Amino acid sequence: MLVPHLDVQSLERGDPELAGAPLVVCEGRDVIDLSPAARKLGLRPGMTIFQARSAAPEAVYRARSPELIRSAEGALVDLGQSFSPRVEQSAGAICVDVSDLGRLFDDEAQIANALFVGARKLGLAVRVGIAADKTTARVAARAGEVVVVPPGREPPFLAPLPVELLEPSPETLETFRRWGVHTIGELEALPAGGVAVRLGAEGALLARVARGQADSPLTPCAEPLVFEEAIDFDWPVENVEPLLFVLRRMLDNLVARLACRALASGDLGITMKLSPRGRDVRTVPVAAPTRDVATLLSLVRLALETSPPANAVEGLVVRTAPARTRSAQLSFFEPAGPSPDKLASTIARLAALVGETRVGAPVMLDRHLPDAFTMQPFNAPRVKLTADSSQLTVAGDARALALHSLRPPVQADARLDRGELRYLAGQGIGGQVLAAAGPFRVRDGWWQLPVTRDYYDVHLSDGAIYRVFHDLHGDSWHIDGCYE
Amino acid sequence: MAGYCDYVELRAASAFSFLRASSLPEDLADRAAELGYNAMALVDRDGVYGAPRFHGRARKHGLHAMVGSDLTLEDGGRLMVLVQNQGGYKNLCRVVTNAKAGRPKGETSVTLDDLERHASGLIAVSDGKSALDRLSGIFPGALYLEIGRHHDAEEERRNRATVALARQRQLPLVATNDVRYAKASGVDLCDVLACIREKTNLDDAGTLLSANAERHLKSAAEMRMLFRDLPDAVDNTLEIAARCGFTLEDLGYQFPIYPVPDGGSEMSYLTHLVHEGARRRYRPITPRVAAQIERELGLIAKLDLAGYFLIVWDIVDYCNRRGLLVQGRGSAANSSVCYALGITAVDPIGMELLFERFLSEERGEWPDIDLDLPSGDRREEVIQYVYKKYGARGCAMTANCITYRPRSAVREIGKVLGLTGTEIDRLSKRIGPYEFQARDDTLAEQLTGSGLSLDDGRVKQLLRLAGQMMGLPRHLGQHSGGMVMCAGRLDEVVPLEPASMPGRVVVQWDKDDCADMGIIKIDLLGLGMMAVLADAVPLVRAHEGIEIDLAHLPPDDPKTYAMIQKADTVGVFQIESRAQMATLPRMRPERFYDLVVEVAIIRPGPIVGQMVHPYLKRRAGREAVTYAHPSLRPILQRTLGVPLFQEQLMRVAMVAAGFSGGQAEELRRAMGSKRSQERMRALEAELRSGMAKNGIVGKAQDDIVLGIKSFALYGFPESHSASFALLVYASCYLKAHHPAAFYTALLNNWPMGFYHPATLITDARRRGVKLRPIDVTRSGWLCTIEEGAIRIGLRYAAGLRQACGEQLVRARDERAFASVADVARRSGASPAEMTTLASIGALNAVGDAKDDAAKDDAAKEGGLTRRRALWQTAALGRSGNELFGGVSDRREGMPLDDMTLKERLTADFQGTGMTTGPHPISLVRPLLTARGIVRAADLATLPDGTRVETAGTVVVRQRPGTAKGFFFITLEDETGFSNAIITPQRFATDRTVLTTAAALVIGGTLQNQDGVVSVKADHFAALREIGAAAPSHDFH
Repeated sequence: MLVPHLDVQSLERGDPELAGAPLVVCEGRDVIDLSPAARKLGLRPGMTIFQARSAAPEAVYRARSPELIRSAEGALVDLGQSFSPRVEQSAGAICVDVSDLGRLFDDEAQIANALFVGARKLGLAVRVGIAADKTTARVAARAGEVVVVPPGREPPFLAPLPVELLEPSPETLETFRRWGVHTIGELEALPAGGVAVRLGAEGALLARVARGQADSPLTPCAEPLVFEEAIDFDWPVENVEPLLFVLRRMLDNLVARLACRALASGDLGITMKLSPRGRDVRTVPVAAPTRDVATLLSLVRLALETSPPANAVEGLVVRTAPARTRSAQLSFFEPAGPSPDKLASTIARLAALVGETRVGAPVMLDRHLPDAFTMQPFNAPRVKLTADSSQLTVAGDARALALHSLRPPVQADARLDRGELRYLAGQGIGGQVLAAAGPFRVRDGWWQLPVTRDYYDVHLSDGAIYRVFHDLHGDSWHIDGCYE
Repeated sequence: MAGYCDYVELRAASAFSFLRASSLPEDLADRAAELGYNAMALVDRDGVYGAPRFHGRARKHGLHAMVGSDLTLEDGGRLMVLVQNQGGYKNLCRVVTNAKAGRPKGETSVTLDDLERHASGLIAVSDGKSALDRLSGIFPGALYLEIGRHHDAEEERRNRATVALARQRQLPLVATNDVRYAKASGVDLCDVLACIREKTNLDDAGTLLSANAERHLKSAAEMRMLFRDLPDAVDNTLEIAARCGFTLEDLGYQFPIYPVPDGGSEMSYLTHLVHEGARRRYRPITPRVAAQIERELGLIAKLDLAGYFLIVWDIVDYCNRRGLLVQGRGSAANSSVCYALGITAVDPIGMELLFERFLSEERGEWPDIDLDLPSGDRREEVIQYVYKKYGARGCAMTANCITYRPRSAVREIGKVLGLTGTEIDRLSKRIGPYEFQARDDTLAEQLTGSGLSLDDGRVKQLLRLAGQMMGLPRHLGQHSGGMVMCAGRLDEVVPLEPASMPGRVVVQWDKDDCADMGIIKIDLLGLGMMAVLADAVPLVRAHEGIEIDLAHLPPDDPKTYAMIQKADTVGVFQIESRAQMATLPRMRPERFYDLVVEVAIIRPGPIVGQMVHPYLKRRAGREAVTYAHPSLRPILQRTLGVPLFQEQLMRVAMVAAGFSGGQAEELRRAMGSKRSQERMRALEAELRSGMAKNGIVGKAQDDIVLGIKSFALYGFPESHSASFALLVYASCYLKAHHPAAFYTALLNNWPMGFYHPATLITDARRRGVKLRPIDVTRSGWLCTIEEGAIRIGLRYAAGLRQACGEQLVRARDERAFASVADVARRSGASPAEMTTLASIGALNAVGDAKDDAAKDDAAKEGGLTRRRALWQTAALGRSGNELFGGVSDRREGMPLDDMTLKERLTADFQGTGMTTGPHPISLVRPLLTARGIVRAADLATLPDGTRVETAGTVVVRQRPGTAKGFFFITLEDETGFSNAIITPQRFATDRTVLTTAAALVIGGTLQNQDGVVSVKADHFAALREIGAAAPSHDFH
């Protein structure tokens, strides 16, 4: 089964109201696919969204949705598996082994029609091809809407078809064009050995396909592993603690099942059926796969305590994404670092408290702004043992005058006299300016978010030395930090 | 002149520091004047690239333009040097030249040893980081330590160290602002240039960008305030300025002295050569000729220009001795001395040309003689002769400054701003190659047309920065043929540096800068058509047994003029363009002077001045010959009252407004130079005033001024036109009488001219010349003549390397090729090259490519052998096949079908860009005829005003800047050309199909007047039945 214009069909399937509309599928700034109605408006793939909107503002513009595509493909896999347990999924195509369906269907045409109709019911218009082997079936599906190639009749079926349907590489297709080979039959007429010599393995394969001698086996997809525990309560549970008690038992069961397969728990999906109606669906991220129930429970506790369910809970479903545990090779001569599990748990707890983007390792940016930095994921530093094992040092430890940054900078009132800073005060800091160095002028990001500041190092009458800046865009003064 | 200013900026870099600063030298000078500076130093990196322009603008402001350079030392450190006197300037030039010699282009490394040898007359300013001890020894009393303040904390820390160092070493400090832009607003562009230089973008550039916008020219008060704790540092700027009195006024340039034989003077030798030559040229020498020659020689002696003429004569003499075609062009043809010396080929006395156009006492400058040579190796031979004669340091090519244009600016800025590759490509393609820019064809329009929104912040920045970047120097290239030379060492006048081309040396100034600095230039220009003529003559000798003397062709040959009158001029010098071919049937040239007019008439001058049609109308007798004023009759009589030539305009200014010859020449120069718009306005006022004094007022005066102003873009000198007309006639004569040799030479010298080779060979076939396709058993690298037919050369096989093609020929000459594999093995051709040769039929005659069973021509033409060759070549180069490489698998047979004719044509166009087979349109002629579509040759038989449809492959697309947005297309079918004119409105709506379709059906109203046929087209459709065609020539 092939799905033409999968990008468009997946969106239409996700939102049936889009069916028949002039739908434009976009990725980034470009148009990548169009419904027939959109093509009629003169739009084409490769246009920019801006061009398309200028030409056809009335069209419907949607971003490509990998989730809806996966859902559509998953639905077709399900359909295929409803016919046979041996289903292979490849890019844009589902291949089903229908060889043992003789007792259920009179003939292959019936099977093809059933698949076609079944796909329609799932909201997808497919092309179905049935043949003795996967490759020929794929060609057949590209050749027409519902095509059955009787066994042994592959060569005459394939002969008149364009050679492009074999999906040769661009270089091979160009060679076919130069040779005047436009149909599969013309390819079939060439000596197989000669084609193989000239076009290599690809040529040999295409020649076999053209003869109806393709023998590519079907590689069925494995059933996805689902690890899920569910429970319904006799009466709604209002507090978090009882929920956690139950959740602990459910996590124990899940972990035990995972352990049977040498797997660990990744992210947890928790669905709470609420009373009287509604659901609370949430994902608890798990930074590092683990079988440690206590860690999993503490993450779930954090999630529930931070954001308790709106109503009492009537039932619980917990699903886990199975993953392989990470292993860390320890060295003989270095102490073990923090356990990845515990580290992940700690980071997750911190992220829950302060926000995901605020936990990590700060890295200075190469910019003129003195405090430009970004956050990177935190990795435990390697600890080197020195010759004197009683002293552990961390590389890069150097003594210097430190600036204690105030985050955020404190807004201040400033008084100037003939351009010279005389007095500064803000949020418990302030005094006469006894001495000042600067201005040290910095501009940054002029092409997007311009920042222009004059920095000063000022010695105030309170005895401390501060770094302050004057934001020239907003004409405001700020105390940036204190030197220590 | 400004009042006293107590600061001098000693370090200001211009955009001629290439990607390190963002202001032009003129803008720096202007800003310095605004700030009240008395002096300033332009200090560009490793050279004096911007110095002439800075000097010129500074002089207008009364600003003392100091000269210096920021040098790269061998240890990577930097040292700024400033020139005190002429000796110091010479030393600077030599240091820079030595530092660049023998190094890759763009690299400089100044050694301290060389600096020591050339330190006299220079002041050095160091940052204190590099070789201070040695520098102190090299520049005793002339070394300063530099200090700058840009509100940068780190810099301030370094400054404290510099101050301490200065005290310790007892060296004076000097303050600079290290200027990179004239005003603070230039900092953004400076950042963009930094990103381009470092090949990064703004998001990733980090601290490569400017920390702030402080490196602009500041007032003296600002600098005093900044350095209030170090007033001596500012005072020292004045001290240095006082010590550095040198300006480029004192360049010290001298033209080379010609080594005269027998101890005579240059003038006596010149006089001897002129008289000798005049006796050859003028038979007899009439009193008028003698008087003119003596007048010219007298002026030459007075202006002491004999050496210049001897040097040019020497080059021409070398060419004559070597049998190389050479011809002086331009205003030199106004000179009978040049004619007598054989420098030019046009008799100025017979043609009544104006000597003052070439030389006059008032001009006060050197004459300008350009020599046309055959392009390619022969011109290079002459260039190398000049290098050898004057020495590696005695002459060089002038530079050519490549500046940012809209496309290049948008590409570079787009990358820096982080636009995607797709967006940049789309925008670049949108900024088309056509000269015409409609009013709404602005950059903003092109941005939105490319799918970019002006609401996007980055797009707004692109628009702003592109405007600032246009015209900024991008890099320095080499002028195609301008050479400068000097008495003694040129590298003491201007630094020299290696060009990209091996064996070439370039000065750091372009030809305008050289002219402004009074440096003599001689242009050695390569003309494709001269190469064609030079190649055609021996071909005629070898294949027809006829000796052609280009200098003595039969004048007024009827067959030649008949061909010209029919506009059968494809491939012919100067008169093959669409516009020319539309004029020829109206003009109907009958004699040489008609060709002189024809060459000049299709130029921006006459077109803008609305002079073309009146001339043709008067020639056809449809309009009366009138003159704006009776005094102009003698000047304009031979062009029927219509001014066409620069000399005429000069004479008009002289006669109507009382200008002297020199003033008239200044008027002409102001018209021709892109920098003289203000001067043009001033001269117009003088012109009108002079005419009014002579009683010429009102419409007559306006008409005269319009005619003169129209030459502001580019008017042609009559002398130049006459020189070109000689080449026109020679090329037409060859085409008419010896077409095989003519087209062979043309194809061998392509790219040149107006048309693609595909069009040249169809034109050749229409003239009855037979053509033979590429054949590895017969073709050379170049096209040859074979039994009167043209054999296409291997150079036209797409993708075939010249080395491979030449090796193939050598291998074949050793012994014939036995098989396709043999060709591959002995030529070294790659599989891709062999595939191309097979697909175009070049292997048809090789051993096993032939089907022995199909020796008859019909089978061969059926293309049997191309497919066999493709089948064979596809097996080459595959691993495991080497063992059987020489063995053809005869048991396999030939499994592929013959190529159809259409497939062969497609393969020809894809593999060579042309076909020796039938024209592609002929394949669909039955279909076109059924639709009532007319052949090109039949259009001329239809009455004017008929509604017609015609079709053809697109050979030329044009949208000239002077055509007010009209678009012109030339189509070709199997019978010839058809021309279509499209209005700007239709172009806007059908732009895509008009600019992209390889073949078109066009329909509209036929215009058939005076033998000129075109279609005013109002509907178009791509002709998709055509498989492939040659690429069209899209230009202006």
